[in-house]
Amino acid sequence: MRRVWAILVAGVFLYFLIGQFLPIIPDFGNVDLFTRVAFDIINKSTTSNYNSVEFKKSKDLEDGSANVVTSIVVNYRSFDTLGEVSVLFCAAIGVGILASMLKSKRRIEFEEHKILRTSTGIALPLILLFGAYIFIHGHLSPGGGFPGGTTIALGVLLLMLSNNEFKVTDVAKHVEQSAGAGYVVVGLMGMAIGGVFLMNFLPTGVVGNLFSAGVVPIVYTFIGFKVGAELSNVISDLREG
Amino acid sequence: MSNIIYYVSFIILGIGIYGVVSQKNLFKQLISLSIIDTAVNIFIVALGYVEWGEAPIYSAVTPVAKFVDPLPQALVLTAIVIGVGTLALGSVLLMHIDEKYGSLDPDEIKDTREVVE
Amino acid sequence: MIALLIAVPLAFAFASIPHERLGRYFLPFVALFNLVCLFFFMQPEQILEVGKWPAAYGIALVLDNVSYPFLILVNFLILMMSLSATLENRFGTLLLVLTAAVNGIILTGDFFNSFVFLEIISVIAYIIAAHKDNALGAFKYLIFGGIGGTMYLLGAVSVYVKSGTLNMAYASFITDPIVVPTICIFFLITFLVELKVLPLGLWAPDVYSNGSSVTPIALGSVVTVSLVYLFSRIFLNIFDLPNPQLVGILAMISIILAELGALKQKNLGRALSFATISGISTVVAALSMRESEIASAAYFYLFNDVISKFILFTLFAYLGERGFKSNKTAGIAFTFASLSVIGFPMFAGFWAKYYLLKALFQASSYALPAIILIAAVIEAGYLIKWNVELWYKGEDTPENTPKVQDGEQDSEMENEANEVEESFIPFGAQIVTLLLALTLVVIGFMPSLVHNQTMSIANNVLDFRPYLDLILRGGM
Repeated sequence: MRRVWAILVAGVFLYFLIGQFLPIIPDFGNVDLFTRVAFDIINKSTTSNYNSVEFKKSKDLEDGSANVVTSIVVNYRSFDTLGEVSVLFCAAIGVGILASMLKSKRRIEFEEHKILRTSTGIALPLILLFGAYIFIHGHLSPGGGFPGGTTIALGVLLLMLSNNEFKVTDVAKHVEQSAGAGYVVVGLMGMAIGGVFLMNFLPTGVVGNLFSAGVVPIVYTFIGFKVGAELSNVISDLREG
Repeated sequence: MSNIIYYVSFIILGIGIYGVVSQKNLFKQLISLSIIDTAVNIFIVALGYVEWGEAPIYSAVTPVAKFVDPLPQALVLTAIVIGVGTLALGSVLLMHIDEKYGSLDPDEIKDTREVVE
Repeated sequence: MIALLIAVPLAFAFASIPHERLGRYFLPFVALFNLVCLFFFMQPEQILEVGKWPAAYGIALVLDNVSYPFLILVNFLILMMSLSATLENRFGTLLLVLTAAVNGIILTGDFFNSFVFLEIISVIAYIIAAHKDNALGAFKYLIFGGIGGTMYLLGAVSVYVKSGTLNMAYASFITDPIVVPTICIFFLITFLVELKVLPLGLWAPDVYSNGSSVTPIALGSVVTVSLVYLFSRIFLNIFDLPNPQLVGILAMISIILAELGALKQKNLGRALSFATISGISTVVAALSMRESEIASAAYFYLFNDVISKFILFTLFAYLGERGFKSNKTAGIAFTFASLSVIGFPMFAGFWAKYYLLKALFQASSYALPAIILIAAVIEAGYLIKWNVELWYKGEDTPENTPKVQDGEQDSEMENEANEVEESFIPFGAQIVTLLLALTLVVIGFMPSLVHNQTMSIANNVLDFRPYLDLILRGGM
């Protein structure tokens, strides 16, 4: 009986999606970017007139990152990223609260493995370095704070798998708190300097250099540390409560 | 038939909805929710595709700015993170349920509740 | 300046991590700060473009005549809740983020931004719903709420595809009669889940009846007010409801089913949660009619419902099902609140039902008033029965105690014996419930205080021109 209901509900929904929703969206690939705001965002001309952007040549545009998705996530729609950071923050606190309320004391132990232990010593610094590279170069290549932080947390997970005595200490909590507060402080500094919350108050430099795009690398560094610390806390809480 | 990616994402969405309604085991419901999130993310990224467009990054190999739409990609970045947060919370809640009732099957949970009362 | 309403609670939330109990001391001050800012430093008809990007490219926070009263109500409720609830470790931090998110979802003028704030509220709600060992109810809520959030995301993205931007005001320029209902069905599913319209609101009885002093108030009062605001903004101001008759019929069926469900419950918490479902379904049914008099009465009804349920759930959380023998003040507040829900004259609920029925009769609609009257009769039935039972408790044998729910209330069995009855209600909760009960009486005698506000909200929300002028500023 349950399966009948399920097929009915899924069928009605699919009928609505394919029959009514699909005709109103444009064909795959057949999009005219000029009708969407993305056109002005790609050409960095939301507050000025259209000027073509050239790699390593255009200087002091309204937004300096070569990665257009980064410019949306951290510059044009930075408020959404602040909300997203809060979602992760609340989820990590929730896992902490709920995992500490479990009555049975458990701790997941892994088998000791000599090869894993030795190779972790080689792989771990490379993983952490790669994670840091991802979030430092967020405005130049794909990636940014979230994948970078996740890679760092993966390094911590590898350390946990290979070494049973490793504990995530309170350092992670302090890192998380200061990084999160740092992001809000950057926003408030934008308010103090420029008059509007989350304004980009540093000079934007040349598109394509490492030191460009104003506040964007700073914000992504904060996010990278915060996400790395948070996910490490989540893994540690799930493991031992 | 160029819209095949839309059909694929809708079918995965349908599978996810079927899973949430029909599965009894709570963990399978959580996984079906995750499948729904994935299907929606695929759909949103596909909405931004421009034919012959490239990844929206200015670099030495893209002198002309013929990019795909970057805004849906930014939306999906946020949506994936939110899905991860929900999945983590659901898992911890399942650990609580399992500890309290001894199983993750709603039938057995109902039996345990009636015994307690 | 408007952004401070969101940034300050968030900053304090991050600052309250080092010590576990810091959050609960920050919360009343932050709520007070928000109220002071709203009363003295911010006036309606303001717009803030975050980051100084123009409204269509970035995010705009809008403070107009519709969001201003809602902000005041929500921050007032949070202030009251911070004084009356017992917050365990780290709940203060979560409630600070909830303050920021609820203020954000009322202020924002952008679809994706409202999705992000909706998800923040949902994640915090899943954690708060698991309070007092209620992981099963929280998990049910997680599944329902997760699907609702995904539908909202699909709706937001469809708005972007059809109108080219994610801004709410610019999105109102979509007028194609096939496109608008299709997009709105996505949003409608989300609101049916979150505003507890049966059958998608089946998570509510399990979540609200966990006997906690935080959960039903944070979710049932604070979050519901902000979501009713979002519902009115999207469906009365920007878009049209797709098929309003169907929504009205669904809500009416939900009212009747919820009242019948409440009648059968042996547990006071579940009965109250069914009463909440019925109350909010009435608001949804009234708002779906798109008339300014009916909408104003719906907001009055929401105000009454939210404050009475605050009192009822707080007292249920602290007293459980002990009687009122030793807590006479609590008993008075409880009785006042139940009479206001039923609609007794002299309380705010009477005026809420009176305005609603009057406006409905003027609009020549007879199905909804009939259902409201039937629901009021059923409500009177079980609320008076509960009041009588609780006032005279302690004289009967323990066989009167209702079915124990999940073994968490078996401590009451011991308290039924003749022990010295202490006062189980903290001082803060006593003051708050008395204050709110007094408010209900005051509004009952002077309804124009609230009624003028709700009339102005309803008139402004149905007229889309001021909102568009504010954001577009005379040009595209």
